[in-house]
Amino acid sequence: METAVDIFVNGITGVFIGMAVLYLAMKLIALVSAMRTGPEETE
Amino acid sequence: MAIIEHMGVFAMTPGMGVMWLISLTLMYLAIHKKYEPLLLLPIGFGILIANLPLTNLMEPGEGLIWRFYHYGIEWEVIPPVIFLGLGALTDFGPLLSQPRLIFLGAAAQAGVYITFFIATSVGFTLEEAAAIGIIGGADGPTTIFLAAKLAPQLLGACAVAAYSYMALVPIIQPPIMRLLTTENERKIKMIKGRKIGAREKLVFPVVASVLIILLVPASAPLIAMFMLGNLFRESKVVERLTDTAQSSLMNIVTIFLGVSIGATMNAENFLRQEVIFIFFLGLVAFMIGTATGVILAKIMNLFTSNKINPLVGGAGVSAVPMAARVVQKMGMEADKKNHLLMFAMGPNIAGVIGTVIAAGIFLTLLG
Repeated sequence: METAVDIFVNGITGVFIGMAVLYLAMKLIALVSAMRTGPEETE
Repeated sequence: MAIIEHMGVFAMTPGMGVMWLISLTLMYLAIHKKYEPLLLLPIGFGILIANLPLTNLMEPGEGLIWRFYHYGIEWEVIPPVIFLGLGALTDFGPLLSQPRLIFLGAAAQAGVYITFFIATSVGFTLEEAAAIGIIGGADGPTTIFLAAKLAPQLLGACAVAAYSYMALVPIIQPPIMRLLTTENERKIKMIKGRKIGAREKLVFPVVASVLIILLVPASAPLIAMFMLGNLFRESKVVERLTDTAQSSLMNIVTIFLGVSIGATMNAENFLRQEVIFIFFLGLVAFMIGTATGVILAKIMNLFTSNKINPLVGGAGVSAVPMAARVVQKMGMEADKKNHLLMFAMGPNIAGVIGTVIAAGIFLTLLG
């Protein structure tokens, strides 16, 4: 059985890990997109 | 006479009378004050009819509204369908153009977990505390989704608290944001992000679904439908489906959702001391979520020359698009030329994703 402290720590850590992964994914998508379309489409 | 014995009027209780007053108050707020009318109006009416005696509307296996509740909410159908519509309405462009703003949506989830912790320390079970904490995510369908699974006895109170506070965002957030920022910080003009191509917008919902569901499988029902709705929108090849998801379908399920939630609030369930705590803790969650978003924006500014207006952090609590509009208004109060709406939409949308991840983590650990 998880305790409140476990859930608190796991929860905050989990949310930040999830968001960090999405951040990296967005950066990667932007990079791939820039490579495919060339620099003129980005500002 | 038998007909008189079967009249509801003789089975009325004082508690039902109190619930009528609550119902009428919600309907008044929805109609006259326009506070989240799409939800508070059916919820208010649902409360009224659930507190009419001898109707059996919520009788398990029999009642009409019970069927809406059972097949719609207990079977996890309605919240994900609403997420399908929300996805079809969402433009990820502002987030994709400034990916760093996603962390503001994560920071706002601190309100969820800090409140969860407070709720456990005042005597709520872990499951109940999770349902209360998620109110701070300012996301109605997610609150309902989680509360229905972990603490169905608190569902009505949590849902009404969430939607009430979402309606009160323009009142709750500004004092906190003012308190935590200086005039100069509120005047910070953010630099416009890069232009986002159609291909990036198309790829994002697919990639995000896979990643989030791989990390937190329990979030799948909400995230999958949210991203599917967004894929409809960005693909531009299924306009009929996009239109249906974001309008007709969402409107239909909203009716069933509102009435069902309202009908769970009978006097026996609702008129308890705990409900006052739930409303209070929900407010605390909202306030902490706003504060932590603003504070993280200020911390991020210590490490970057491309400054973030800390007000934008306040939009990390979802409440789309109300919280972003509050940021826009406050930015313009500080400087009439400071338009922050599009910047605030990034953390606003990130807040939706963050709340779903938070709910998924609760389900993983407690479900």
